[in-house]
Amino acid sequence: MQRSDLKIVSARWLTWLVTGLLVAALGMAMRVAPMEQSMGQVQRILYIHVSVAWLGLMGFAVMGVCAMLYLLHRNMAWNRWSQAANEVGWLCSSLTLFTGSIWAHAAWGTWWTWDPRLTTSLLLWALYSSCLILRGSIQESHRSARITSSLALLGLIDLPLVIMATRWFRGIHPTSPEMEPVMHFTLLLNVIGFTLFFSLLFLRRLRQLQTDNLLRKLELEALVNHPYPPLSAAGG
Amino acid sequence: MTTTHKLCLGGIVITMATTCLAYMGASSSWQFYMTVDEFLNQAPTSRDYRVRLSGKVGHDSLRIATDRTSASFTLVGAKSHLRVECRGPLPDNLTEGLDVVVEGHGKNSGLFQGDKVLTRCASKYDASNL
Amino acid sequence: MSLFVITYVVFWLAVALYVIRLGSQQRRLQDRLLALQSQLQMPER
Repeated sequence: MQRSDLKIVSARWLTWLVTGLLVAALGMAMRVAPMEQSMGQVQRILYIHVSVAWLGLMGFAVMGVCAMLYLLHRNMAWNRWSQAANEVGWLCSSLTLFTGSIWAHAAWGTWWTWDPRLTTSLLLWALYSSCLILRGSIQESHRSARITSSLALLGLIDLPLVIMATRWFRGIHPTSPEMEPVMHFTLLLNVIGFTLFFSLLFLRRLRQLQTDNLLRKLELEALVNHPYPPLSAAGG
Repeated sequence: MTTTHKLCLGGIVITMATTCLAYMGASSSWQFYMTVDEFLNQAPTSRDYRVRLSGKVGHDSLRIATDRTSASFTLVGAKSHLRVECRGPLPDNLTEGLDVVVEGHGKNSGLFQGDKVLTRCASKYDASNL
Repeated sequence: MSLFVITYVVFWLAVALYVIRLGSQQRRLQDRLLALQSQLQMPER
């Protein structure tokens, strides 16, 4: 993957495609899609809310699977995948709660309520945050990877609960409401655009983590072979 | 105890606290609400507890105070209905015919004393004619 | 300004902050790479 993802990330055509898709998605969401009858303009939050909610779930799935692969093979490469998914997924999960809260205030009349979907989503965010804190606080890399992977794996239990919360339990959160075809198309465009955009961010972060790992090894080697670095380079 | 240990402990405490909070919040919320019919099927003497009730705001029943701090309306279920008096913040879009969830206490008199009203989204998003 | 516009603005600000953070991390990696290169080009003592 190391070589192929490098090619994907640096492909200029993909960056332009994603930028074009996002601009189109934004235009559709803010202008072209009709205003909803009962909720008004605020319903337009749907297009970003659903997109990041889906990516928050997907991010956790990627993090969990990579964590499991790390625990099976003890290969740090999987931990780097898991970490990249952790960071991007955390951002998506936070944005889901933020956009959802504003929409809830306008549509339901409250910023927060302990609805099953909301509660399980908050738990997902807490799990993401805990994994991030653990990654940042443990110095020894394999120990950090082991503990974080175990928590991520445990957190996978929450994933089906978030997805099925509106079907399994009675709550206030809507379950895939019907909508006008234009709204449906706009939502699809947003989901595709944001999926590609956040996938690019994920691959970029993954590449950074891989480069960082390589640099660490080279720096250690250089320190052994050239124990006296020049003063100008020592600060980096 | 090193900084790493402290941070680890902090992380674990945050996770556990959030889990406990979520559980405490959710334990009464897995059934986030009861319908009006389910609530009225219980004996009148056993209705005095905190509950969320779901139903429609009955037509020609909604009275909202001018300062919007209280409202009264009939909460209509599939078969039965219940008089609701609500004191507390009201959603801006509270209107008749809308699906709502009211949080509060049942009274033996047959009245439901609410302190929070949540309006529910429509099951279909229609385009506005404006 | 409408509530949904504010939400969109804050949303994109948060995304932009993350992209900026990625950029600064990228620069730090490049600095380290340059430092390593100049270190390796030094004659051995």
